Amino acid sequence: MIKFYHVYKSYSGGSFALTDINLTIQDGEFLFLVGPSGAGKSTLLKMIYMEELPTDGIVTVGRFTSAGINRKKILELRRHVGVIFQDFRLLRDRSILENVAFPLRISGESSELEMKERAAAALNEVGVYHRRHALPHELSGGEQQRVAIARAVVNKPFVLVADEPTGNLDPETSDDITALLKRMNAHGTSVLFATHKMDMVERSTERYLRVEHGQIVEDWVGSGRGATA
Amino acid sequence: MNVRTAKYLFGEGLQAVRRHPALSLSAVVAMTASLLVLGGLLIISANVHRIVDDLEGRKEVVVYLLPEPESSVRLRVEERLKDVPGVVGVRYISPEEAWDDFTAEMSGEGLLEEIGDNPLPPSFELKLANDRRDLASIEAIAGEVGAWEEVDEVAYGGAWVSRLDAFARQLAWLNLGVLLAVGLAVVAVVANTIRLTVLAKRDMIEVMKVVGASEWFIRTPFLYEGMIQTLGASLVALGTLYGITRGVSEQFGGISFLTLPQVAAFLGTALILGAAGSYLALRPVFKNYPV
Repeated sequence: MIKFYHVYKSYSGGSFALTDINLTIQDGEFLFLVGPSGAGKSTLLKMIYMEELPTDGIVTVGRFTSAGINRKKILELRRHVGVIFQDFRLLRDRSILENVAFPLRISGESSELEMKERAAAALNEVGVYHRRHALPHELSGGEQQRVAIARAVVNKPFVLVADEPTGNLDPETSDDITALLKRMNAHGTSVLFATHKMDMVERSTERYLRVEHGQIVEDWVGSGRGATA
Repeated sequence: MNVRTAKYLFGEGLQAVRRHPALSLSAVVAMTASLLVLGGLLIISANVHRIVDDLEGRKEVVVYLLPEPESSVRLRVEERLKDVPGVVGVRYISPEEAWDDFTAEMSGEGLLEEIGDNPLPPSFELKLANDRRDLASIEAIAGEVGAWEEVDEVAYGGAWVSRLDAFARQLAWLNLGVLLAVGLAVVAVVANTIRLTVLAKRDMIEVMKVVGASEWFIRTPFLYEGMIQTLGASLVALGTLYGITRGVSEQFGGISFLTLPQVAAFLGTALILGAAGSYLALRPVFKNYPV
């Protein structure tokens, strides 16, 4: 479970990125964060893997809490959170398989063979196993985002944080990626999906939070209007 | 850190050098120039030190006894001299031996006929410990021994000992100054080179941070990269200096290259400088990390 208790985030100069955020996300939940650019969605997501810590208030992610957390605990937390970015952030100079095995290498717990097997399984799950020896630039945008998702789930995180994962993709590929994230969610992983595309949320039947000026202005469930059959 | 991870990180450092050959080469060339200056000065000063040591080995303290002492007096003085702190060797020179030496040096000059009988007193030549060859220690020993009633006079090379000491001290300061200047230059070159690699790899660093890599996991390949570059530069510098030293020695003789421990110290220092440069280059990356 993820909880935000009266969370504020301000930067030097006094500008507020988040104001009094109160939020509970249940295990296994799929949640859209929707709002215009600069509304505070990314800051909110960064608090989940604690790249940002609250100026005031408390964030708890599973057994980790932001209050008094140390460096070691933050690094440990990040190994349980999968993060997906709009620009994929794959390592250009190594193969797709190596990219996906990368988080396993960092945790240092698996053997070389185990790492390759787990990375291959994750690639298989997202449907790009056949491109495992390619370099990132040889793949399409959609394929690269699938690889990024495989990298995010290879450590079996309990939550997936996706910051505009379809921002660089055409509508059809966006739908594919969204469907893939929903499939991951169906396996029990919570998914937080930030997007500025309101239409995507409207077509969905998932819970969504509308964020504006650093505040949650709407916590609702999508109507499914315009959803394709 | 387990062996597999350590191996992986070393491989990453090596690959960084291989993936950016032009960058690495320019760094190695710049560092080689600095290290050539350092190595050249070390060779010069090692040779000067050797010469100074030879001269210092000749720093003589001679204790002249009163004429014609009893042999028991001579033996007693010899024993007392051996007990003086800082004296590690005592050699007795009889008037006859002194005369033989003197005549050997003065032969053919017609002076000896004028002198007639041997006027030279018996004496002791003192060998001093290495750390007691400075002027103050020699003066202290001379003062102590000169006060003994059996001793007529203590002779030592006062002024030139003092000049030699001053020269050796100045050389040591010069060495230290150059070492600091060159050290800073090498650190700056490594830091700037690694900074460029960091820029090229900022995506990778971001990903590493997001997936929970420790600071040392991220740092280590860059550390190896800096160390590999300085190691390469110092080997090139040492090779060049070895060639130059041999060439000069064959032409003029008398110059020797660094000893094995000095070579090891040179390489060790270069590696430390490389690591320091890399460490500094990555400092901004870890400002407030992991938050």
